[in-house]
Amino acid sequence: MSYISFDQVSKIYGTGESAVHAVDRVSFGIERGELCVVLGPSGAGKTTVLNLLGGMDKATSGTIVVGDKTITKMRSPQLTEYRRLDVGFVFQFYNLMPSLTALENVELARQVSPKSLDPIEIMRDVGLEHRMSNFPAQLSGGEQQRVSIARALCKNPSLLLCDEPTGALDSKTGEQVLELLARVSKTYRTTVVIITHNANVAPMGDRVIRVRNGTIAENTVNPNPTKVEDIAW
Amino acid sequence: MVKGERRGNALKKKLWRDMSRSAMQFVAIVLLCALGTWVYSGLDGTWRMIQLSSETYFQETNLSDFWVSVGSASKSDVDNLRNVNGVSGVQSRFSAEMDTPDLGKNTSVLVHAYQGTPEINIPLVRAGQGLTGSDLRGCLLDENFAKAHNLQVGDSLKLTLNNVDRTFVIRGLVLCSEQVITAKDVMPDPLHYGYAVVSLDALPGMPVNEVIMTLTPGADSAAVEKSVQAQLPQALIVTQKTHSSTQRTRAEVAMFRNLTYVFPGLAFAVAAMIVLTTLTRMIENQRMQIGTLKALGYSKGKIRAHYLYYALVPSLFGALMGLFVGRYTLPDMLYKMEAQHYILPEQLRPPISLSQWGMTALMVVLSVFICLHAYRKASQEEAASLLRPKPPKAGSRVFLERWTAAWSKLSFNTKMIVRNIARNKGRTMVAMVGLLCCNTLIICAMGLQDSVAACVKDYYQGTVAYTQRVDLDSTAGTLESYQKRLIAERVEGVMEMRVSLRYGDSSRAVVMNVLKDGQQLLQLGQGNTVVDLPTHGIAISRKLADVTGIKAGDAVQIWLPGDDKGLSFTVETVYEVNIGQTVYMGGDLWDSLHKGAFQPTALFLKNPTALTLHKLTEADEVTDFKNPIDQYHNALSVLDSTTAVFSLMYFAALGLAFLICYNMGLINFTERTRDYATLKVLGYHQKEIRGLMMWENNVVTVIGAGVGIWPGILLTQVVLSSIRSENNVFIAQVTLPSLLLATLITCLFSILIEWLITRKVPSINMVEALKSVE
Repeated sequence: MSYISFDQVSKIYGTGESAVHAVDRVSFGIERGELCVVLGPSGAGKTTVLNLLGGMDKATSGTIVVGDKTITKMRSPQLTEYRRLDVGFVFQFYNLMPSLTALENVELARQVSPKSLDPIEIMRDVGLEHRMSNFPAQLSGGEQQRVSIARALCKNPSLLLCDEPTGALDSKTGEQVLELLARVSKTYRTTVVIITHNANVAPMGDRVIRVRNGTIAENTVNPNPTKVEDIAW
Repeated sequence: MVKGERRGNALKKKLWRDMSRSAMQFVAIVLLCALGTWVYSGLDGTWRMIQLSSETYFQETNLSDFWVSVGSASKSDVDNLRNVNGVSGVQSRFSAEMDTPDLGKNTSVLVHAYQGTPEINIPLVRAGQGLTGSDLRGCLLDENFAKAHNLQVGDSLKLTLNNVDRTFVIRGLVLCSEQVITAKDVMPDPLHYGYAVVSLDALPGMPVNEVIMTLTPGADSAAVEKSVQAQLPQALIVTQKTHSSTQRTRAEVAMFRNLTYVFPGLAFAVAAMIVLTTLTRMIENQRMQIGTLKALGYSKGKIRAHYLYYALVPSLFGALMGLFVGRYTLPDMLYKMEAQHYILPEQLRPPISLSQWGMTALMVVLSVFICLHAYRKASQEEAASLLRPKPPKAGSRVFLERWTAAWSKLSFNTKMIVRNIARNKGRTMVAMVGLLCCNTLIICAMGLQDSVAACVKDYYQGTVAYTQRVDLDSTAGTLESYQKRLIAERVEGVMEMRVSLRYGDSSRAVVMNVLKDGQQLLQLGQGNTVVDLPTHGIAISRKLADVTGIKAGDAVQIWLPGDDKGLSFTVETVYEVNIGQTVYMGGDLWDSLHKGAFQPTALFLKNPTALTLHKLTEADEVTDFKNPIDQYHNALSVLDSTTAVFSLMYFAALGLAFLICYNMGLINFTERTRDYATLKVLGYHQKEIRGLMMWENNVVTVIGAGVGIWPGILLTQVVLSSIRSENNVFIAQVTLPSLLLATLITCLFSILIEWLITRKVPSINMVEALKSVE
């Protein structure tokens, strides 16, 4: 069985005639340590998939299993524990705490994770050792996103979920962030799921899942992922 | 034209929808504006109501301007007074306290026996009928005294003076405007003390010992007083300013009037501050919409007018609501409370005063001005800039971080909280001010109670060292005879008399206590110590020194009752006695004046035997027993009767704190929902997030409540000085338990409010909160 398994998962918002099937009986699997790119146009349901996978939202039906945990059976406190111990999030708009410095934002994750890594080491790893004492407002978008990744990694999660991580960045900065994610996947043996509408990102993934109208259009394994620097943007 | 109208309608719809969407914040503005005008119109309405009710009463019953007491006034004396320039009316009467043996031993009434039908201080008949000068058997009785004794019109009343009994038929139950407060001591006690009116002809042989006078409008009261003094040098003149009941009634009006300068100022300032914060936030949150309207081509004036309604509608509604609710709540409540001691026949509601309308208008103008100010900041930006989201406020280091050693010792969460507090200075300040005001008001309420209690305690358990006071009538024996007969640890006596104290051009009717030298049962020294009475001069109490401006070393004259020449003395010292306007004189000095032997009017006994007390109860000359412990508790019961005022203060304090803290808490929560959602995503448990919020609130609470301690003490002093009583010296003091309790109440209340807000944490939807950057 795959490390991540979606089995007939649906998410319906609203009821009756106004019901919207954001995700409709979706089934797929992702192996441990893979870098998976979930690709789809706006409104296809990919963010819903990520939210369900990250325990931020509850499925209407179906089963989601991550490792040995059945996410869909978990109640709120267990889901919090799951997010705390197993999942790292990277958002399109970074969501850093504005009153904390870059390093302190990373330390914020350490507060709740018993197996956390050294925040300074991680900051070095993401190339921000010289920006550690800066506040988010003093950092560029790319730098803020790297802080966000460092914060997610600091918890030493087995699963890193990235929602449009390059959506707010220019192509050059976006490229650097994707490179970092690819490196993280290899270095930390972390399963990385990247949600994007940018089809150019697809070749870098070990696996590419295409979502359309709330369903899986394609789930393909890429035996030879392309290096980020080799992708034509 | 049609286009313009449609635009106008759309903006109106937007206005009402915005209001319903941000209902809580608009309701907060309404309530705060209402609070500001409510306190003002309430307190302003209270003093105006008491003033109107009492002054109308005084006018309708022709309250006298002067009460002139003499030993015995002849017809020519009275005629001479009538001819004094500025005097409009004169009436003579005999006034004396008479026992009512059928109603109990310690019960007496102050009887005014009028020559002819009362034309000055006309008794207001409440039941039955009035009294004519020729009615020799009838009397009018104090309505409250009658009620306390179940007496009715037609019943008989036996009055005893100098062992002579006279029985009268109660013709009517009345109220007298010169007896708004009918108290022998401090507290009115209708069961033991009241008043009655009879005809002078019904008391044959009784002299005219009091002349009551009214002045023509605009007459020079001081000049008339001098002329009266010249006509009757031995007279004791009491004016409306020194007449206990009238003065206390007017002091009550003055107290509430003074309070309108203190509390509404506070309520107004706080209301303006919160309205400022709330409106500024609301308009800042509308920046994109302002940009959109600008981009659509709406004129600046039209957009400005639209946003001004944000302030105008709630402030107008709130301020008017406060004005009208204040008019019908506070004055009625406070009047009812006052009416327990101040007997007025009718509660008259004055029209809304100009100042009340003015304060209402000020509240609205202030809110509109605040709104205009907030809008101006946003309107100065171009449409394109307004349509972009506002860049987040940059984080910054706090002052504390300069002390690296201290900063590094703080936990991560504490550092985060300190930074957040520093980052949201404005909001934090407002919340702190809210708690500060709350604690200030609670401390003030407790401080006032403490101060009054301390004054009473200091007198009855400090100054007074006897355990029993026994009042004697004019048939009492010498002090030595009592000292021989009575068995007690110590027996002392006091000779009390009303004298006229004259200083400079002024005079004042006061009580003089002649005490035997070497007395120990009145501890008149600093810190309630026994002191020697002055041997060559006199001493006066602190209150008398305060009201007259007399200092130690000043020369004064004392006119004894019936004397037509004053005695000159030097004030040797001022005793720090908390209660009473009193002159103290040593027994030896009294003897040297040759004005008669020292005859006690009251005995002070320390630990008398039961048998001694029993003997005294049987003695004919004993008129009353007073136990300092009972007097202390009686005086404290005055405090109990004012509990409603203090409850009102607590209510206002907590209401204010709730409005401010809940409002600020909600704004804080809304603006930081994204932060809390991020913490949730990171795996923070709800209780951990709630803990962080509570911890942050606790820091603000402790600072706010802590900083409120000093203003609380200060406010106590300000309020005490504005309610300065004519008879007591109140020294503002707030006890440590009160300070701690007040601060604890404020803190617990703040924690409760924050706890209510943290209950919203589970409702944070991570997906929704983190969806967009706005």
